[in-house]
Amino acid sequence: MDCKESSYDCAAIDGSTGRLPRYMAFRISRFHVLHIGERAYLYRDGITQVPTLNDDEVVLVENQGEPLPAGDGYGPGKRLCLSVRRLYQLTKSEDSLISNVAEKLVMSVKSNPNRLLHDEIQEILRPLGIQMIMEPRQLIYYTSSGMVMVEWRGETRTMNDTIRWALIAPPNHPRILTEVTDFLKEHPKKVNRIRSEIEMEGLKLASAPEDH
Amino acid sequence: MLLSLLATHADDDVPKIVVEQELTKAFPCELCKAAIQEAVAAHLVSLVVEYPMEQWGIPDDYPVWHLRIPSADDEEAARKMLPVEAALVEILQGQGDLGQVGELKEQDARAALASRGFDERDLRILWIDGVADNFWTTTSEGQVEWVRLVPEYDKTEEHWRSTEDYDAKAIEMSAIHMHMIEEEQRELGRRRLREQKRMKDNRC
Repeated sequence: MDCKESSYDCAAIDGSTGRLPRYMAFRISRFHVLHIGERAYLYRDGITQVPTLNDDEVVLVENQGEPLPAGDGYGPGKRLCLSVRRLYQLTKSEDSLISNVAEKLVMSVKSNPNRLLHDEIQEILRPLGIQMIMEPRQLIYYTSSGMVMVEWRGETRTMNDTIRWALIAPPNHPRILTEVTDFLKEHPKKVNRIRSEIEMEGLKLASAPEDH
Repeated sequence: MLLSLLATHADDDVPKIVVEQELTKAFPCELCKAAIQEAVAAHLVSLVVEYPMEQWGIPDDYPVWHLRIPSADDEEAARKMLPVEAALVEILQGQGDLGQVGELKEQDARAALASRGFDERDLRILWIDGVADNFWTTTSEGQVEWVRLVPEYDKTEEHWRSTEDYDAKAIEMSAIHMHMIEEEQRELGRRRLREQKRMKDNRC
């Protein structure tokens, strides 16, 4: 399992006052279609289940989503992004029309977890002793097709999980590898302990990323 | 004594276990624990989730309970809370298993709140902005939803900035996925047109 630039990333996170221990997390983002939009008719033949939200849920994403700047082949405002945090805030709206639809949409998101991410965590990371938690993060609405995509994101649960990942499967990307290497150097005791644990469990260590 | 102890560390959150140890030097252990519990219930002291700093000399593998004099944000959040939200916070503050401090399965949180008399309407969304949020763990049968007190390290500006940067990068990644779907749809559209043409030709 390698860290691919386009799929995996990690981020250094410091405490705002410098009083927190420095820690780092590996993150994985996976996307899937939550609402197929206007082109649903294309899938009629041979596909029995097409992902669909109710119209009011789609309208909520359309009305409450933030227009994204131009990029990735899309013009300005051609994609709208509704963060899941904002969606939860809308469930507390005083306007019951909005809060009711937002609650329905939360339920739709919750009942559509990303299966690929689930399998990566359950079948790849867990056997390696790496714990990762997942959560929905963003909804993206495409104005041209009315399609809605959802991002589910995984994040290593603790610093120890991040260290374990780095020792078993250090990232390939030079920038990320440098960040990870610096992070490991800051925690020599923990790294040594976790390395011994991995060896005792009979798992294979990668060549020491600190040596790169 | 509890308050003056926390006041001497006004810039830092102090691990609850350290506070207990300090207070136990002067008072019986049970009394100290009860005093902390009462101070938290009365919002004189905030109980938060955080990794311990090295200076406290306790294991930092997992976040643990910390105490502090309530910040302006803590007070504002407590003031705005609905009764069901305050009850949820109280329930989560009672969850102290190692590695799972302040976390509870959503289903169990729901049951605990229902047993306190809250109804379906109150329990629809167990989420409090900046205070309690949700995450999922995996099992061989599917996902398990959890509710947790948002840890302090998730509230820092650095964390927000890093997360926002990553959000934007994630959207870039989604574009690759989306372009593939759009290409697939164009192909499906072309196939459909070809079929329609063939059917029309056959009829002729």
